[in-house]
Amino acid sequence: MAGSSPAWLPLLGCGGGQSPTARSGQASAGRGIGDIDSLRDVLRQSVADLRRRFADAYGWASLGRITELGVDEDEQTVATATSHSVTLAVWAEGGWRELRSSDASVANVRQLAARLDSLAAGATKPSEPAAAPSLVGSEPAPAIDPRQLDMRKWLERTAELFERARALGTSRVVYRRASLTVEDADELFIGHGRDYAQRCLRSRAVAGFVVFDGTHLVDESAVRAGAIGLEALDIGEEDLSRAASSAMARLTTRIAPGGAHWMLLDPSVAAALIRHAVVGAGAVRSDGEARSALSVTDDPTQSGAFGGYRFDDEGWPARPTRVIEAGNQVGRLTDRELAERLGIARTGNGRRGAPDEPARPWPSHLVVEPGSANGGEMMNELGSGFLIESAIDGAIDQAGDRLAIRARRAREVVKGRTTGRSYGPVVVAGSARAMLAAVRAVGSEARPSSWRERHGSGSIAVSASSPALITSAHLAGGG
Amino acid sequence: MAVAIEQLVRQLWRRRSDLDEWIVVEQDAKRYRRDVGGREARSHAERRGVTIHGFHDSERGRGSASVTVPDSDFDIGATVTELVAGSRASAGPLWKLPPPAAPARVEVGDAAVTAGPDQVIDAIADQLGGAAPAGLAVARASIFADVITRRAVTSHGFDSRYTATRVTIDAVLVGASGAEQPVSLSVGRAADLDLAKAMERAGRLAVMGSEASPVPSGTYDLVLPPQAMGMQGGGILAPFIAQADGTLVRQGLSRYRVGQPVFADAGGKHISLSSDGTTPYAEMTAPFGELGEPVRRFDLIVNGVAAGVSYSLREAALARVTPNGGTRTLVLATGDASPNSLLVPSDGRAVLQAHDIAWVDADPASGQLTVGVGLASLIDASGPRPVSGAICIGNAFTWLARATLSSERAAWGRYLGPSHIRIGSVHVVGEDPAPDGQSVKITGSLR
Repeated sequence: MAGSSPAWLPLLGCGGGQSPTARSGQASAGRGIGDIDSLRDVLRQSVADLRRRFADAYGWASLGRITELGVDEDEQTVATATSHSVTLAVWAEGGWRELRSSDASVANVRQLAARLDSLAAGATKPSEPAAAPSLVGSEPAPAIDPRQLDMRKWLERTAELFERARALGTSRVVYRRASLTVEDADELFIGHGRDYAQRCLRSRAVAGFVVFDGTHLVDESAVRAGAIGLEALDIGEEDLSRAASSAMARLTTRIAPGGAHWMLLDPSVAAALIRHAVVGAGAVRSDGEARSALSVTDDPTQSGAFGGYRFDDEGWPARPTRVIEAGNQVGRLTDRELAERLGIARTGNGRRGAPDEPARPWPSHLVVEPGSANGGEMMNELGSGFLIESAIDGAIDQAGDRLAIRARRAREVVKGRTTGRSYGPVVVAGSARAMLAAVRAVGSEARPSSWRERHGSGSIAVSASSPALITSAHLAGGG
Repeated sequence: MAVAIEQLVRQLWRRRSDLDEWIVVEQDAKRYRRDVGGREARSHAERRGVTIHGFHDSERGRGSASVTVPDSDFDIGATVTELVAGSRASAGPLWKLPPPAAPARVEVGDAAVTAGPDQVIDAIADQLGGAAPAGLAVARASIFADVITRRAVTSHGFDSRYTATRVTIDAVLVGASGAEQPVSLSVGRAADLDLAKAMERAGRLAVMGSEASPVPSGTYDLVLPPQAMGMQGGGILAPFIAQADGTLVRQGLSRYRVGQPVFADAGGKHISLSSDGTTPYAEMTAPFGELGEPVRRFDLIVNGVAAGVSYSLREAALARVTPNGGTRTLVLATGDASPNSLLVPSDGRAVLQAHDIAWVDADPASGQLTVGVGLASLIDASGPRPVSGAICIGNAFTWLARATLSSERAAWGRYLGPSHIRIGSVHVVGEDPAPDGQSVKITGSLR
């Protein structure tokens, strides 16, 4: 499974500077998280009471925990952050008035309700929201439920992954690390005639290899992630070996020749392109002139998806949304505010970086419609160009359309075969719309990718399922 | 809040046979928000939490674990038991907490914001409408006031607290054509909010945007504004921050060797970079760091040579040096060139003067980076003209090694340094036709 490693450095517990605001109190997961039943009862009561005075009211709550374990040659570490959050809101004085707190006790919920109750109700009413679709999708069904396992067992299993990684690669691998991040939360939404509950369970295991030649630090990771439990640590031997070999191979690469080229993007690079292009689709729309082979759906309801859920962080039921059709950006992911402002449908993509932050529209799980060509056929279809492998990260201008994806490696391809010349690291850059519109072939074998994207003071889980793609873009050597 | 932490500390002392040392950090963060224009909304959010770091020493070394819980409604006994279990299960190199040191004496909290955050927000909202430059109107805006109180208590007797404030505006201006121009600013002290300056800049960018044409691909001399260094994460300086991290240096995975050149071929002798966490009301300023360690100014690079390392409490203890609280505001020494001299084309290359940075994506390990430039001036023999959509590709280390720095200083976010940084021969990807002569024509509109 491909996953863009954030900087490898955060896996070492460093890099990126230190902010004066601690990371404490962030998101969610774990065992024995809290009394969700009492919280639900008091929320129901509070929302019902507030609706007697105000035109509208709702409540949202999350009881969760994030646990991070890391094992390398020198040490094993455990960090657990429990985070509770409750939001109560009423429509008062012509707008929404929200109170959010990390204290999700019954007493505090009553206090929040009392504070809201003191506001003037006002005469205006909010516009009637469209009727929400029903809730679909299923709860996570982990094979190894983190709530049932002692912390010592978590660490033992993570250490086992490290031992498997340690057995791979030569002495050129100077550092190896295994890490596991589990986010586990119970969430509620009550309001607008809806009364929802869901468990959000996300696990991500990484086995990383670092090769250092004294000047260049090269890293590769094998990742497994999903709405799963500790079985995330069961990364396949093939994936582990591939990561170790790739890290060592990269030391022999050179700077890529620049210019516009046709490229075969491996699933990880294709996923990075799609993910950034969909985020950028918030600002730019195409006019439907493209006729490419690419179609993408944002689907939070897909079972087991790392970025999936049953209802979003504003209590709107999740639904698949077509975002790219034949290379044209057709769909717009929305939260409540954006949907109201633009007068378009809510898509259930209101997502929070931290439980106490307001929601913003963001992708969840992006699914690229697979084509029919296998690996060999894709190489033949490419003909001459470059095979781009192993995405690192990327960025898009959200006010425009300019996009750049960094990848670890490009291999020269002539007449459907690699020539043996490889380059790296590389950058694939250009217009997101043009790249999507130029997709002329899509592979048949999709592979999953996952990310934790920084968002406000927290992060958002996003995932994708993408096969390889052939498109054209500008290739540059990153030096 | 104070009651909970005292009870927690008592419990930790009771468990001193299980925990050799500990650190408790308590944080109370309140965010006040008002949305104006379009749909009015207000929200108050508060997040209170306690993070306990526990350390247990054995023949396996020092086991470390941390547990973060909400400040209220948590079972102290069960939480400490969980912490003990985690620290006993883990293991690492042996180290000890250093003796407590005095926190830095710095100003981080604005009394006006602490006393009346909603009033501060309302005063800003009242000014906003009239602050828009000619031809633009405020379509919508979110105004935030943050009040964050932190307290750290350690088993070595350190006990200190501070309150920091931040006022932030995220606004969108709209012109007659419907084109949108974002405006963002963030300060620690409300009185430092320069709305007029931010609006003037937005107005300039809006005019440029309406006249800009796509930049052609090519090699340019790039002139970067402070924004490129001050963005969240450090912008193009992010790899320098990462490489100076004490953990990487200890593990031999950094190109930093104190006393050795940072740049290849011993270049970059004009580069001196330091960290300063004591600038009043700056974004990264704090009296003490995440674990209660003192925040101190220190040099990262002096004349192109690695001079210092960012030491957290733990890394400092392992290295047997004084912790410095990590990299904070990045101060880059100025050069000799006047800003205007850096805008003159030379050696047959045009100058691309960036005015608005869309992104900086820098790999902390290798320094590989891409810089998205939303708006720039392309300056050639025929003079300047506005362009858009440049994607600049390179490497942070090679860029800085050959950069020419202005003598004038400016600040942005966590950066204080030259107002103009010129980098020669930068590869820029513009908007060009597809390969094989095919033209991929897509029309679109900015909504």
